[in-house]
Amino acid sequence: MAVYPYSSLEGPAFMYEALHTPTATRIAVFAVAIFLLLMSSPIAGAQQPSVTLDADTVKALLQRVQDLESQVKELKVQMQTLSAGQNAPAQLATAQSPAGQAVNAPDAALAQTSMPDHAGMEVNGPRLQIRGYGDASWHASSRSGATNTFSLGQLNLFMTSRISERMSFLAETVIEADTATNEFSIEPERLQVTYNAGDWLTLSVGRYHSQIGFYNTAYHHSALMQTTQARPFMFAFEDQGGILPIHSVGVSATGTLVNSIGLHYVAEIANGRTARKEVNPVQSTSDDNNGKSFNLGFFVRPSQVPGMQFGFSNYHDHVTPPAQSGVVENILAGHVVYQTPQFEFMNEAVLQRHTLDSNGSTTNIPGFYSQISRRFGSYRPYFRYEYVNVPARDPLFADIGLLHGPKAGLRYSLSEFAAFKVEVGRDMRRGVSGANLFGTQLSFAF
Amino acid sequence: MRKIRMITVGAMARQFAAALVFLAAVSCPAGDGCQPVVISPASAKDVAVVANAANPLCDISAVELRKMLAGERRFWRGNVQIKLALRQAGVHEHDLTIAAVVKTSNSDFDELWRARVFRGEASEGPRVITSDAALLQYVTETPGALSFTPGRNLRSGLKVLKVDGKLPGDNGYLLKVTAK
Repeated sequence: MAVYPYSSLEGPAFMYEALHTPTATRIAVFAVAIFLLLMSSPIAGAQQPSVTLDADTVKALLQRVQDLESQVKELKVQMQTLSAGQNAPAQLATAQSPAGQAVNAPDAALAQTSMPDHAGMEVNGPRLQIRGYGDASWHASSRSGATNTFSLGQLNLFMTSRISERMSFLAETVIEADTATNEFSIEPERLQVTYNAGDWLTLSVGRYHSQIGFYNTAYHHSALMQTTQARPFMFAFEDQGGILPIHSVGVSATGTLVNSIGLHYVAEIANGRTARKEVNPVQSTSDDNNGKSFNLGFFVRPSQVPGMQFGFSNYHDHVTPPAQSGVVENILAGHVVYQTPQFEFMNEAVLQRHTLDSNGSTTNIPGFYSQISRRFGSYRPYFRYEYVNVPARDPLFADIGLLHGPKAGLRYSLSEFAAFKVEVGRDMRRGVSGANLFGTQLSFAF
Repeated sequence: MRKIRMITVGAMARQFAAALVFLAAVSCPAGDGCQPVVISPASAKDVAVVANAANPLCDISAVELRKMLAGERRFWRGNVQIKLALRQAGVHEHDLTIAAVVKTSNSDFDELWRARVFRGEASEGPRVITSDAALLQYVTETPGALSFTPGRNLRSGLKVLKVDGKLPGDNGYLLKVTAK
């Protein structure tokens, strides 16, 4: 039997008597436990790290002191700059990184409250950001009658602005010259307001790129942001002879259906396009008819394979050409794409079906492209093969005919914001002899 | 003479341990369930994933963390917007996080966000904050904030998230700094 440490001969009598009462013993034990817990662990609220004071910790504390001192110095410089009345918008521009906003929390507050060029503007209002994209090229063709040409590409003023926590604005205002007349025009190729309700719903209203397939929403009006010099012909812009409704004016919704498998949906309703040749095919202000176009699709981005995406969409519209039978248009598109910074393999196929109201006859326009590229440092060689076959009896695009051929090229990144591309290709069409193509392009952002 | 009950040391120790367990159970942070973080010298250098203290999450998978950093996922459960804040490129915790979680270089990470903004999938990239103090202040004050900071910077007002069940200092922790 163990001997209690305090006996009647060794310990204070009062403690002895107290501790030897069973109830008192328990009370004392709990009291000590409560005392120890109160002193060592959090009761509620945030976690408290415990740090042992050793050399590393002291060093870390000194580093924090230095960080705080440098922050104080920065604040002092900014106060001096403000009092000297320098241009606040210039400071804000130089402080921003390409991907986001490089600010100290105090800097943000200062930048927002000191903008002499916008006196009286709401300090918590939208912050417009503008980035420009452009390109210039030289190209030549062996086709009879073609000339070698220097060309200006699209000058794109890309604007974004946060209207509120969940609402944002985006616009691509493009200035470009007509290939036939060399006359310049300006057009808002995209102009949309987007509301983010959650991962399950992103709603955009305005003019946007139709979510048909992959390429049309992955790439827009910037040669810098795409690997090749030009878009696949199937996804060429309407005013460049493209046969798909690249732009739509209406409402577009997309979101995540099942996060665990990366399943997303697309649902769009828009004006559709006009078949009248003499006007802009994108109906931005009025619709030819009361019918609307619908686009519904699904795509999957499996979490286990970052960079992989595959999907399917179906676009439906009723087009009413003047003095002709109306045409029901259905565009079925599927894609399998694997894209990482180092490597891309993009494959898309489209089946465009036109059914005449008058007799129900249907023409099918198949099209596809396959593109592969790999990056080696600043160099990215690429190859693409594309195919579109419009039957001669198609009611809308019979003049296109059969168009197919390979393109191979090399993209060299001069910097993050400039690239030089050299490309060769073979252009084959129904009824004409094939032509060899050669082109160089300088694309850039500013 | 009062009869003295002999109480063994072992019996007292058992009663003391029971009291400790009881009190530990009732003193955990209410409604949180996250275990407290103990930062040792071994974990002080590891990069901790920190969120605003109101975030109910305790643990996040590396897959979901990558989606958040890459902008593929923009909301926490409960529909709170993820406010991503990073130190600038070149700072160790930024570079380690991008390399270990997104598995790209800094320039590719910037390009990824430029492309996302260009496609209209985001209105702007992650907030870049150029000092530890301002970064931690931002995370403390901003609901939905998510960031990355060395363990030595941890302080009250932040929540440290486990990554795949591991905390800074644990073997196999995703954002572990290995000594050269």
